[in-house]
Amino acid sequence: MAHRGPDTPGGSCGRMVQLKDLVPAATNNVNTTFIVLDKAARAPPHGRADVAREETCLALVADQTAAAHFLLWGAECDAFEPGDIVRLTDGIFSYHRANSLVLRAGRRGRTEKVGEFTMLFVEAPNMSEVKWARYPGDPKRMVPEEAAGSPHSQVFKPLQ
Amino acid sequence: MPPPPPPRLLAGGDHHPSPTSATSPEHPFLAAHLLLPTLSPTSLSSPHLPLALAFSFLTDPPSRRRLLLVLLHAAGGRYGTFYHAFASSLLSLPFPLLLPHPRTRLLLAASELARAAAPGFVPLLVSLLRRIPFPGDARLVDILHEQCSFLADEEPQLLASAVFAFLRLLARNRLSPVSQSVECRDCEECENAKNVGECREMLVSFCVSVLRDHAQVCSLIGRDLVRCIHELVLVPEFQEVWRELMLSRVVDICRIGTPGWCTSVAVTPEMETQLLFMMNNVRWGNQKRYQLWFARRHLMVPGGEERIPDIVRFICCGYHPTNEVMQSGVIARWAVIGWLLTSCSKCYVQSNAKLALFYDWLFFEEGKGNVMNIEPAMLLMVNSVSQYTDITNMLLEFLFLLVENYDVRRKEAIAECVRSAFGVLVKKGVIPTLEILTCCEKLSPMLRQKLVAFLSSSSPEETEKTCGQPIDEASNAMELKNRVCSN
Repeated sequence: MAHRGPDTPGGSCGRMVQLKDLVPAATNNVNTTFIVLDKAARAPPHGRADVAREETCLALVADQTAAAHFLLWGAECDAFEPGDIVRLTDGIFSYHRANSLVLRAGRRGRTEKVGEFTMLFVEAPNMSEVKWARYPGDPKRMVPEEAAGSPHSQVFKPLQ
Repeated sequence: MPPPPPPRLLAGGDHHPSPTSATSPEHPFLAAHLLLPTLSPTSLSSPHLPLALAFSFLTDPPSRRRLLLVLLHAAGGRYGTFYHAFASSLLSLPFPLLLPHPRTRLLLAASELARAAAPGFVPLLVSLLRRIPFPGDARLVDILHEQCSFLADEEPQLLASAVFAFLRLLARNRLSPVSQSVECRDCEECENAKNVGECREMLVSFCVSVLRDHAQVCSLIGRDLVRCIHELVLVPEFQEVWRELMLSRVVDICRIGTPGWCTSVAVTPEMETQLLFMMNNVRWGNQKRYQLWFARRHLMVPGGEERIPDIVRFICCGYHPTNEVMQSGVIARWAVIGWLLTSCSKCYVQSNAKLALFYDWLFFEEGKGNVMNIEPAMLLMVNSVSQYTDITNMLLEFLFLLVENYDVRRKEAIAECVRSAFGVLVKKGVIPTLEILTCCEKLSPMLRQKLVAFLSSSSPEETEKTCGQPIDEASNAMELKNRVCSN
């Protein structure tokens, strides 16, 4: 093996979670390890002219419990390829522009390649395609309203 | 002015663990170096010395080489486990990520350990042999050439592994020069490091001399030695070897099964890890992405496709799963081989891959041959019948082609071995009966008839046993079925 396995404990802070436990929230505290399954075409830099603009690339990532869409940002687009095992520290799972729910490192988070290939995964449920609703008693909390029914991502088609 | 940061061992940017992070494979080396920043004879008793010395060995400029060698052998002479700890630390580094200078220095360290016959040098050299071609790998040929007589006596398996690794490299025709690493031009050692691609003659002459002088050692390779030299027979030097050394011994060598350790020399450790992960962990139906990643990483690179026959040999002879694994619903060996065969875009690679798959059939002896070596070909033929009949037809046709042409002077003996392979596969329960093939209507009628005739040609009694019913009945039943179908 060229790298440490994905099971090495670590992360600067917080506990590791599995993708099935992701809940949309505006906090940078997601620590998790996943394998990159696929990458979509790059999106050109977009945003206000007065801030540094970087290209982005949507990726399908997964672990043994669930899948999610991960938004690769700037240099991350070149750093990770399908089959890479990535550790995310202090990431965020939230709505990004046009209502798409993505996992990403964000400004405070960090992504590191910790291995490749040797990780099992499932492609459903895709946490980015679960319909979430605000919890009646606590509007800051999100709960799944409707599970994602499809066995694969609606953005990334399964391999033929 | 702050001191410069310590040198790096591994390539890696912002998205690789930093060497100061405990998750980096570089971390233990750097930590030991920071604890023992200046090495001197007083450091000998430090428990951090193996890793700190490895760090210095891999990163220091050539001018410090002498001091490091003195320390290495002083510590090795004083502490029984030191050499081993030093060699293991070098082995623990992820080789594909090593920067050019540490990679050149790693070869120097390996050469020094081999020269001293220090404990731990064998696994280190084997792991380097599995990674050829890589920049600077010609040093490996030098090391083995220098130590050849010693290795023949003391470490014959290593010498046989080296011959096999080099013969496979030559056969794969991967000798287009590997680009020199541009990152380390200042250092004389790196400038002078050559690739085997640039010294083909040296490689050929090393192999020929070991084949001539240490024939017994080379026969440890088993029948794959014959397969390799056959592939190289157009190279004049090997033509001579074939005529003078091999012809008289082919029959004996072909009776020796190739050991698993030998087939693993021709695949890189990364390939092995990924193939084993697929065949031990990935369940049926989930393999597509893994196959795509494997292909992108290892096959769709220059010279990658030429590795497929070696991968097939590794799967047949180098990995025999337990019954527990076989029944656990993970992807089977035959399916991985089926995928590899369909990944060949070059005809000669596909032919060599099919030869690799059937090679143990051609020399199979009941009671001596390992049924696990011949099992993947049988299961691939049988399991492809319903959906991928083309594959079964292609394999069966190739098997007959081999029986008739592989060695025309020993045609009958080979036919007998192949018949015996069919028989043992039924006897051991790999398949319940050969009727799956002989009575299969989807199969080409010509091949089916040929198979029935082949199985019955020498001993009808045996065929009766293996086919599950008398051959006449089988043919009658088939004729009847054919008539029914045509009506």
